[in-house]
Amino acid sequence: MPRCLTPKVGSFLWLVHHDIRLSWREFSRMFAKFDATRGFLVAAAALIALHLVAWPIAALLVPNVDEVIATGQIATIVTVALSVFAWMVAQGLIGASRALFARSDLELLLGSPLDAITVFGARALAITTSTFGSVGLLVLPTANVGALLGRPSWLFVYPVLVVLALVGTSIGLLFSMATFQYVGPRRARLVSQLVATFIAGGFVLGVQVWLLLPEGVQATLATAVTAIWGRESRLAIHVSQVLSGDVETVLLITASSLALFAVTVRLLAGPFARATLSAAGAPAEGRRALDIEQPLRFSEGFGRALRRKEWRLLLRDPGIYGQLTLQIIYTLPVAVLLMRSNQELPTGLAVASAVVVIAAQISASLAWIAVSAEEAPELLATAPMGAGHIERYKLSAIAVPVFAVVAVPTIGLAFASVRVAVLTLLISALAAVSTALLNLWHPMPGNRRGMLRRHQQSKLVALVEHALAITWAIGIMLAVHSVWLTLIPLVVVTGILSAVAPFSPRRAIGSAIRRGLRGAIALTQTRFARLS
Amino acid sequence: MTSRDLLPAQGGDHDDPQTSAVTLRGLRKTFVKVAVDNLDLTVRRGELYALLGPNGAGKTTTLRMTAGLLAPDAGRISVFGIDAIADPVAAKRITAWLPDEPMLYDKLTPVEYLEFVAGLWAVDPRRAETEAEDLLRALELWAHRNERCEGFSRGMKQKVALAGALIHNPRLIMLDEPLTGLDAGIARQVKELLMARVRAGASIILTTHILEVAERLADRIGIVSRGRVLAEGTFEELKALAGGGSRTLEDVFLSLTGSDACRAA
Repeated sequence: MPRCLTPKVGSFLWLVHHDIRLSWREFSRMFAKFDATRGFLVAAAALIALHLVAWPIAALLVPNVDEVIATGQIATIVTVALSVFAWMVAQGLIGASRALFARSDLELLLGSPLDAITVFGARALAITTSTFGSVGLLVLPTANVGALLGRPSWLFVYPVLVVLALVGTSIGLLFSMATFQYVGPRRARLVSQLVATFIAGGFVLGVQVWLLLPEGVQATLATAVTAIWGRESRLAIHVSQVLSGDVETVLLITASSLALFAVTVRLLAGPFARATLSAAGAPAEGRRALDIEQPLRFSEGFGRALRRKEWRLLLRDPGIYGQLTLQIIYTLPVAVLLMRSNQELPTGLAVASAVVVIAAQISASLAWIAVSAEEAPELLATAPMGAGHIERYKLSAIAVPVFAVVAVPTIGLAFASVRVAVLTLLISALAAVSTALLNLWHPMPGNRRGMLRRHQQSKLVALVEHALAITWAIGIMLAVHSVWLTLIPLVVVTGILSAVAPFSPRRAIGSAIRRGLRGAIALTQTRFARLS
Repeated sequence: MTSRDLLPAQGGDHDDPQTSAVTLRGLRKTFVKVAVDNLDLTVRRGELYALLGPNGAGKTTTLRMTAGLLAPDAGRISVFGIDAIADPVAAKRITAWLPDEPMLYDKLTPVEYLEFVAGLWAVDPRRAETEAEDLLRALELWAHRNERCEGFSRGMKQKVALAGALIHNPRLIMLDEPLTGLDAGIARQVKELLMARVRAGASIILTTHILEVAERLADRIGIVSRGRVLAEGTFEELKALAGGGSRTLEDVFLSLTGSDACRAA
């Protein structure tokens, strides 16, 4: 960047520039294997692809939105906007929670002579940008295409998303700080994560519940919603004005949200600085030492030790519960979609498919936690045990929680049909094994807190994981029809796994690394190579 | 005396599995550039050997290869007569590795961590219970034995990791910068525990940047630079090598590594 364009050292813009640079480097790591020209071409191709995907959606929406504006029946649009807003609040909450608890560079910044408002303001803006990006990537291409199709007012989605991101971040920060003050640093993180999970998942759940309601109830509720934010409500009027391209309204809401953001930053900067520093030095929440001299009681055996360790770590990480719950919530549409698409389909079969998908996804997540997010890979690699044994024990450890999650709905299914329940259990086991193997063969080292973000490291693994889950979901339906038809998904899954196995980095690393926990060790090696 | 006189000799007494704890011969490892370059090293049984060298000299890479965490590109590694490349599991059974960053699980308590590590090395549970209690008491962790490690200071975490490394009573203990970042009290506890292990017959190799530690604790010192051992011997031998002006290990170290750097230039 030319010197004349570099912000003044220590200013708010200088810190924002610092944050943007760090974020950009993190993002560009995904394209590390491309040079600048190829990276630009890949980014341009991705942008074009997003717009091509958005084109039919925009074409479909244009007449509907026109009609909505003309008739003033904008309840649907308001509902969508509120859902997007809820998502952004959840993102704001997660971002605020991370900023509070991830020490990263905040201790350095807060220990410097910079004032807390500058530091906090820059961090809050970074959260806003990330919140904006999480929705913008999907929504903005549709708005651009809408503008190309003769609806330039759709470009007002840009400032509207900025407004929603600013307000969502402000609410997230206010909530996180309030939680921090009232429940303490250790529980605040958990509360924020759970609330964010339920806000984000609430939309999906809401849609599921809505789709399952009888048509009469749907109509009654629609009338009630329209009455609340229908043609006459203030919210509806503002939304109508924005959709019609009313610049004054857009400016008004933008200015209001900026004011709210500025006030939030000014109010919270001091408490945030104190909270961040105290969160870093907060005492452990663990059990206090026993007063009585109780003798130690150790269990015996390598496998038992490894399984107990995995279970203890899972049980003591409430953040994992939130992430797994969210994953289950996101899976529920499978059942509803099946029931909606085929009215003849028995509810039990739709539920069975959802259970299989849940088993596949939970197993994949837990396998990733056990293998890729292992906290002490070197300890295991120096243990006198082959990597194969370690991996087998780890996979057997995750089988128990997967079974626990699957057992409840399967017992429910058994009341409808024992045969369907048994087949569901068997297919779920196969699905769980297949996605666990995928994650074992393609480790993606990371921190266990980033379970839901693990697919950012490899889109291919994400794609294959979903393909496996869907194949088994179809498999259960075929199996219920005829057990012999189970061979079809079995062959397909074997084919998929055989196709991806040769690309496993474990094979490429070589025989030497096979002695350790390969994926995690590979990361350590890379880091070490950089240092050397 | 020249530095060649103090380089580890190949063959003969030094390769004798009856007297050597670790024998490294022609060890070589290349990442982007050469990290370890035809390194020869012998650590005798029952001695504390300090590996010194500037940053990036190849000390940690050497220890990681000996611990079975990295495969050498070439060379031999023998641990108490066991070929650690051909039979890594047998070598690991009698070895402990403690990196500079403690390998811990934040959500486990020290007792649970020790139970886990004892399970990994298949230590008899009754013996492990006694050993764990002794270690926790010796390192003044007993009062914190049921607290999760997540709230511990770096020093406490390092002590828990050290207890984990020692619970299977290893014959060879390798430590990478074990005293860095510890306060004087904790550092003394760690040093005393290590010396007790040496007295009990264990062999220790440690890397350190705290030259005073090497000077006081080590039976022999090896100075490594750019992947090779420049010189090794007792402190007195190294002092003699470096010349009359060298009074401390720091003088010796700078004299040896400095001259090497000049030659490279």
